[in-house]
Amino acid sequence: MMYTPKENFIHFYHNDPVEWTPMADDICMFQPEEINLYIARGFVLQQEPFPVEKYGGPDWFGVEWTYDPVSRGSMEVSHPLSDISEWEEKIVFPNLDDYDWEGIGKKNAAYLNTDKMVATTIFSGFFERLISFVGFENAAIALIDEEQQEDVHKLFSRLADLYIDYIRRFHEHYGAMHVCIHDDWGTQRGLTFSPDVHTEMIRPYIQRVIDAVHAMGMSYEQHSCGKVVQLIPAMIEMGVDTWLGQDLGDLNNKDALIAEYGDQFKFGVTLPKLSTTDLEASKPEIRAIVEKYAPKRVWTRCDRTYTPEQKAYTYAYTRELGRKR
Amino acid sequence: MSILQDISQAMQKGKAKQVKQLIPQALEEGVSANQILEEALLAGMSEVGKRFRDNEIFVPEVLVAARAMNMGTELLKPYLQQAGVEPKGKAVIGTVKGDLHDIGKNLVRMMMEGKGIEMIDLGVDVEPQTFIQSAIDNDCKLICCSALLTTTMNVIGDVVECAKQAGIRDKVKIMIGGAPINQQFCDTVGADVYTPDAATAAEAAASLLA
Repeated sequence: MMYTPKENFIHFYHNDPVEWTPMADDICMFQPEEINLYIARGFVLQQEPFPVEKYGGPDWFGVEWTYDPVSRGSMEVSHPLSDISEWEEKIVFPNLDDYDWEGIGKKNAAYLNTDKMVATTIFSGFFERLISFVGFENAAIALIDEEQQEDVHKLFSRLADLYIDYIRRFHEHYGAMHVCIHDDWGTQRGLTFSPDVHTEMIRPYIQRVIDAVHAMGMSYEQHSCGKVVQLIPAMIEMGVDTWLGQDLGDLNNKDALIAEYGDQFKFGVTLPKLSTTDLEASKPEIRAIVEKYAPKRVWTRCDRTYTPEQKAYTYAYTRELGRKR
Repeated sequence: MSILQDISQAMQKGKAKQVKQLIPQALEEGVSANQILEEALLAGMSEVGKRFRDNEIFVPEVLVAARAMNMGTELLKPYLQQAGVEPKGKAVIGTVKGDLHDIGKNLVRMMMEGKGIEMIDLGVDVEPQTFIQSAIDNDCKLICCSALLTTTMNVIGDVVECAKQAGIRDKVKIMIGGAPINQQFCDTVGADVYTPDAATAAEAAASLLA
């Protein structure tokens, strides 16, 4: 039997046998420029290359961002609200009917004509979107301030409705089978907020999105930077399908997490840096890394320091090993 | 429970309105402004720092406590000035040139204010020379530099060099922190102190300025 990369990934998420360890290269990430969220955040992924110098500017809520090409990310320039109680009065939600979904699809027809798994990303999920409206400190306080919590709940509920509608359109128009929502919950040393705050303020809305995503037959990826290992059990309970996270030294020790939760959860793994950029010299090292993760139920991606040739070899060997097994 | 404990507890819970009510009451009862500052606000913030360091509380709880403390110190300011009470030292703090991240830097500032240190916050994207000039202008003995990016962390070395060129290197201590920073980097660039988190940074700053 020969699976396509898309089929292999779907089998992976459905707990069915896979032919090889799925890799990020098996995904066709679709983030078209017509959704200005992706321009603002500096992550347009589509058929035509998008000029980096045009990154930044307003996102789909009108929040202004500035793009830093060195760190390859954007930060808010200013925040439209001083108080979250103003959101219903001042924030204009994007109207998804305004987008030409079919036109976007036609423009990217060749890009989407792929045997890879089409996926998309929603940047600034819930807490991050709150931050974009009122700034970090006000957002963090709003999560625990009894006088503001009701407004936060209302906002998050409306966001969940928006995200579900958005994902549904990507599923119906472009065949997307996977979605990743960004929402940083951690810092370098631990969670930004307590697990109880996560349970009360954020989890219900993530849960609603996950349930809708699963009802569409899609898989759900939670993106969160920082040390969030305390929330892995909650992610498992919510039905999060995968989390990549940061593998930085003691910050989320992925091998230890796989040992503890690998039978219940599918981790994404950034393959470790190689000791050389020379392809021939690195081949035994690459093979050892691929073989280490092959028996585990994880998906992988190459560290950004891999050369294109090393990436190609890693991918080829991953598939070769899978088919041998 | 004494009124000082009441103020401290209210501050630790981030109850700014209670702090605002209790401080005038304490002053009316004859408690000195300095005693309120030391035994209620700074002692309370020190407890907040410990609990944050030990992962018993999280960033939002620290933020509300810091805001309540600021409310209290603003109320006490005229009384402290009248009594000739000086801050426990002055420090400049900022995120280095090219780096716009301020969450960690702001937490450190709040924690240091919680130690009674007067903080001059230069914001983000701060030129090395601006750190030095501000330290000279404000007679600061401590310069605190934050960097979140591997691409901006080397600016900290420029701050150290600027301090040398300005002839103040032996008069100031340079503290550094941020996600990519470690003790080895601190040693390499010739800074004085690296701390891994805001609470430890505040404790180190208080020791340096003592």
